Amino acid sequence: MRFFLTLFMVVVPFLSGWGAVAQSVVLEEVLTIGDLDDDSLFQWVGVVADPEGNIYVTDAMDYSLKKFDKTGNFLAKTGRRGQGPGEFTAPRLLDCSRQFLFVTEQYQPVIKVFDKTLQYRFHIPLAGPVGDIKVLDDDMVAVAALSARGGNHVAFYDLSGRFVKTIPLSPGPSRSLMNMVSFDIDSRGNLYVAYNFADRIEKFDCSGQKMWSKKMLGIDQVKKKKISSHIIPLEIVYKDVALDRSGNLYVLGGKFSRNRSRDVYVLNPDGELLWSLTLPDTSHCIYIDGNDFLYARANEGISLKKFKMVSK
Amino acid sequence: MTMKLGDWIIVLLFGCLVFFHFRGIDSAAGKDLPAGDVFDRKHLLFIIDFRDFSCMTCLDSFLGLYRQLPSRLKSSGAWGILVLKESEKDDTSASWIAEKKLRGFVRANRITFPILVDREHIFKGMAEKGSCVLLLDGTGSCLHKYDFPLSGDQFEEFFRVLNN
Repeated sequence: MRFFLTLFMVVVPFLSGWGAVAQSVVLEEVLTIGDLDDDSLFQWVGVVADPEGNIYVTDAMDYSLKKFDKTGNFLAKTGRRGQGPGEFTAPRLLDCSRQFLFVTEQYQPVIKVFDKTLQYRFHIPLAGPVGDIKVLDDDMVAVAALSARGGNHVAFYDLSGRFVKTIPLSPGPSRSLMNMVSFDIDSRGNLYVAYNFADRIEKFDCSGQKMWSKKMLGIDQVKKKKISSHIIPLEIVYKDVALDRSGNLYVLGGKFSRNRSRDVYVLNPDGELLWSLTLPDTSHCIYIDGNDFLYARANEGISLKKFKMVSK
Repeated sequence: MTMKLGDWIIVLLFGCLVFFHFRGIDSAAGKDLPAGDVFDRKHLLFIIDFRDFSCMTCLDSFLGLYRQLPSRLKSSGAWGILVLKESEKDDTSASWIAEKKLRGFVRANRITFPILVDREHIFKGMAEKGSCVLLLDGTGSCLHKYDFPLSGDQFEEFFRVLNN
């Protein structure tokens, strides 16, 4: 039986200086998709689960979007290398609404939309490439631009690509990758943002008012390199964020975390650190589904792990 | 590049098949190298840095070049070496992961020449700047080495030298 074979670790007692609650969480592995010797995943990048428990994954190595059932059985695959309808050059992030799946392409100003049978339906043209995405419903998506080309904000678009509104983020260098963020939005429309190349986590309400700002790791600045006229940050501080059903924010740490690309800091909606987790393997992202299962990478992207979070 | 380096590459490429444990990938697994015509025309040796698999745009230049190669080179005049990175994982796991990713990449892009996995880290030094391609003449001497991504001028020069 593939489930419950492994009881994974983690817990992290809390640093009293952060005013944390005495609590710990164990990650219990409940599912693995992709092994060393099968061909289900070659290098997954984005993941999302629908209310039925089906799991959708973008695979950058074979330019595809794949669907698995809740027990990890392969159901369907679509896509190939190309720029036509339903084709990919570098599929990346993934989110879903009740009806559709939304897939971003690296460095392309577009979101490709599929139905849940993986049939290509249409695309949403954008002003610039996408750094992060959150689908709010069947009629709106929120997008953080890849900041070297876009603005320092999270923008909201309808499904035709028409601009709806924007929430400006904290001021940063103009047109710089230093402004890149990962974000999530809760059911009340509050925006949670973690800066990829700065030690800053922030919350904005739905009107764009900043609620709080946190600096968790004590990092003043990251190493940078000048390439041509661009300043390229070399060290990632926070890699991804995700919200659970209670509105707690999970932030995946990068280079500066004690366990690089494995430590996940859990903050309550007021920005107080509750506890932290350590993933069993390094990951580029975290995702939490509607039942509070946490998904992360293993084996450098050829495996996807699903965990149950158990309070102790 | 010097004659010595070219000789060294050829010696390594063929010699290591005998003395070291390489693994072919997918349909190219165990394919015999076409020794009969190796020395009568230009050949290519692609050094592919495993780290580039994390950056699909880094592979675009490689794929752009590959797509424009003459068909004879795609089928029998080119070889690839996948150079593994230093990994936190043990060598066996790292090698399996690399081979699996390579298998997906080869299938998705219909790459037909054999790509061997450098499990012994013999070619590691040649991938210090990332992936590259060596253009070899009929005697195995290296005419040019191009690091990916190639500039537009390098791209044109590559095909000019290849076709002359």
